[in-house]
Amino acid sequence: MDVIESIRIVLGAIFILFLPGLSWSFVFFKKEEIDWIERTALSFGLSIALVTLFVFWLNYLFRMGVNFLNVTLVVIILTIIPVVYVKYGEQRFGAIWQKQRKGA
Amino acid sequence: MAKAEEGSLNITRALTNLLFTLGFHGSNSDSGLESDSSLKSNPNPNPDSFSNSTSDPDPSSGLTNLLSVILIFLLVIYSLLVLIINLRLFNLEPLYIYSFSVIFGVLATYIFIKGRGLGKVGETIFDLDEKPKINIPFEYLVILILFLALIFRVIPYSNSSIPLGYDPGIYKYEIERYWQGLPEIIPPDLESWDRGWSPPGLFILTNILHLYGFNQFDHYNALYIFFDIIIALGIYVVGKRFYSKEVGLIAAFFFSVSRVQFGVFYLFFFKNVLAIFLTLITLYLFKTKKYIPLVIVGAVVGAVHRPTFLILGLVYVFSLIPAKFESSNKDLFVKIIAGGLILVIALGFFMPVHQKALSPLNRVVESTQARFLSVLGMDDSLEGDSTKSQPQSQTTVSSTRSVMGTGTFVTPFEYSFIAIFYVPLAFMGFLISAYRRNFNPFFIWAVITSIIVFLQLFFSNRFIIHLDIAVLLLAGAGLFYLLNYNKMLGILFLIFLGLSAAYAVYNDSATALSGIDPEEFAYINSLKTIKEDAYVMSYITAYPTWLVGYSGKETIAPGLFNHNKWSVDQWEEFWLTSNYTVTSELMKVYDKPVYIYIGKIIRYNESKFDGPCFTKFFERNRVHIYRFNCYGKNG
Repeated sequence: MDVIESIRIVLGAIFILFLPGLSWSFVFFKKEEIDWIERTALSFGLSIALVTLFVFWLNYLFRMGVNFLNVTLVVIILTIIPVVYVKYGEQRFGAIWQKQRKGA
Repeated sequence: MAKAEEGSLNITRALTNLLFTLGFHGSNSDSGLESDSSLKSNPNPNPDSFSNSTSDPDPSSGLTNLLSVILIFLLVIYSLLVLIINLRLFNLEPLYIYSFSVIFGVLATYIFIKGRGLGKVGETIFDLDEKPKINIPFEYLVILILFLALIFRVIPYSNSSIPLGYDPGIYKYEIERYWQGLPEIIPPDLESWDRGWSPPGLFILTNILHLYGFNQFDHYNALYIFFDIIIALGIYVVGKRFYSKEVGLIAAFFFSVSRVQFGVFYLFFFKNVLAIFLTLITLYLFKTKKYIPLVIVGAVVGAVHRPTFLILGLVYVFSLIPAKFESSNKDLFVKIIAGGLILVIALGFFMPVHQKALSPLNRVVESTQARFLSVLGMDDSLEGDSTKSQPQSQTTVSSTRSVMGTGTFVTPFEYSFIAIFYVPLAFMGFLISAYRRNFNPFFIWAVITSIIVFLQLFFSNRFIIHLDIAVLLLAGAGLFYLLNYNKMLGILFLIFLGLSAAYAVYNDSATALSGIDPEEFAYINSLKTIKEDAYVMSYITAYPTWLVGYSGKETIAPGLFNHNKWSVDQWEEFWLTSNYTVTSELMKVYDKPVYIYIGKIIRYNESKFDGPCFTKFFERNRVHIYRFNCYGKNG
């Protein structure tokens, strides 16, 4: 196994098994709500579940071919959505939800 | 009588004074919490009597001192039991171990509630926010625990790269079978046996990782080690959420030195290991009331491993009962909806081709029904169903029969020995949880899996794996209460247990052999060089998984895979006969050459192959491979 292959495997594993869950963990748990060990454990769990679920359903319902490009795009989107939400959307949605609650 | 009482008081007082001298004065002196707890437990507090109970002539003080001495005595017996079993000094009956666990649990719980000779009292020691003052860097200790678990799991690979256990070949075959289906995530032409053997969850993930360079089984073997280690992380986080940081840490440590969990790792239960980690995360999300991720992770447990999903489902349902009293109606309603969604989404994974994978559910029901009837004396059909009583060659055949077997793992008897390090502590943790009405999911998990395991309802030995996870957490809680009662005693006992368990698991790890003889592994691999389209047949059940994974040939084995054309009776006839004509007639049902692999483990009745339809293709070091030549001549 050469170095390039090893790097590809390690980075691939981090990309699939850690990053999506890590970014979603910030949606479900605020920064101070859990410590970094809990966030690490959650990141693995959420990544495994999210990637498995999304790739399966996209393939089954929309006939998305499971290849390197498609899966990479899906995982990137899965990782970026929560980042965008945490960065920009939380305050907006939070305000809307608060208004709705008050209205109710 | 009065003199006798005074005498016993003097003895206990002397013993306690001795222990005090040795430093077993617990938190009395270091936290100042004792007087608070005394105030809580005594409506008419007398600060003097609690601050220095040894100098108090009050008879109740003598009783509590006696209780403390009993606790020390119990811990000494516990330590002796651990040593006896660890050093294999002499044989013990499992009944003694379970009985001791019960006695230890009951007495220790009682002492913690009533006693105060050495430590805190009652509710104070059970208060999970009331920590023993141990300033430890938890993060580093968690990393250390993960590292410890890693070491024990890597040691067996220091001499050989051949995977451990019995199942690696089957996983290799299945993972590669799924690769063939790409760009579909599940091969649409997946054969019937593959659909029944496993739900698709794990193989969806391995297919995805294949796109990122996971091209050899060694990569997946490394992934398996990784998944097994992060269970410790899962145990820590649920322990922290349901009990306290300390409980999580102790339970994770017990996991890393658990012989049972090393056994799971050794046997290469890939689906099981991944599903347990995901289940722990699901329960963490249940506790933190994060329902969206709860549904996603919980559903994927169903897609990975059915027995673990069954346990998760039962734990989830029964956890709703205490939730009914603890949370609002709205919260309960959301939990019910989330549970329903988990089930629906999990079933969705089975829609494309895996409906057959749901069929074992019928066997679960049948097996449970039969067991209950058997227990009630209304049916004896289960007698003799134990796989261990059958010759090895028939084990797999029996497991294909309608009633579910016990599964490949340690028996409840063996469990009592290899989990001696923490079973009594777990029993204490269990009783204290019950006393405090803390019916958390792990309490329920322990009850459910104990019922399945000890009543041998279905797949019972395999559910010891799940039982052990709950036991680890309850043992963590038990040791935490001991630490909280008396810090020094707790730390000493933890060190003793940790070292003993580490020694035992190191022995297991250092002596763990690969699942197959390396020479035979090489012979099986060399079957790939046979160019002709042929089957390979496993003569006994020790080899099918290796043959299917490493021979590169379609594999015929009793009760396994897609190419077996014989019934159970025909297999039995094949094994027992010495008659060449009978054997060749049976073999003619196959339409391609068949290479019959006869390994070192069992070789018998080979005279049946003496005839023109069979050629001895290979013979070396007690390994024989016969080629069947008269294929496709049936009728």
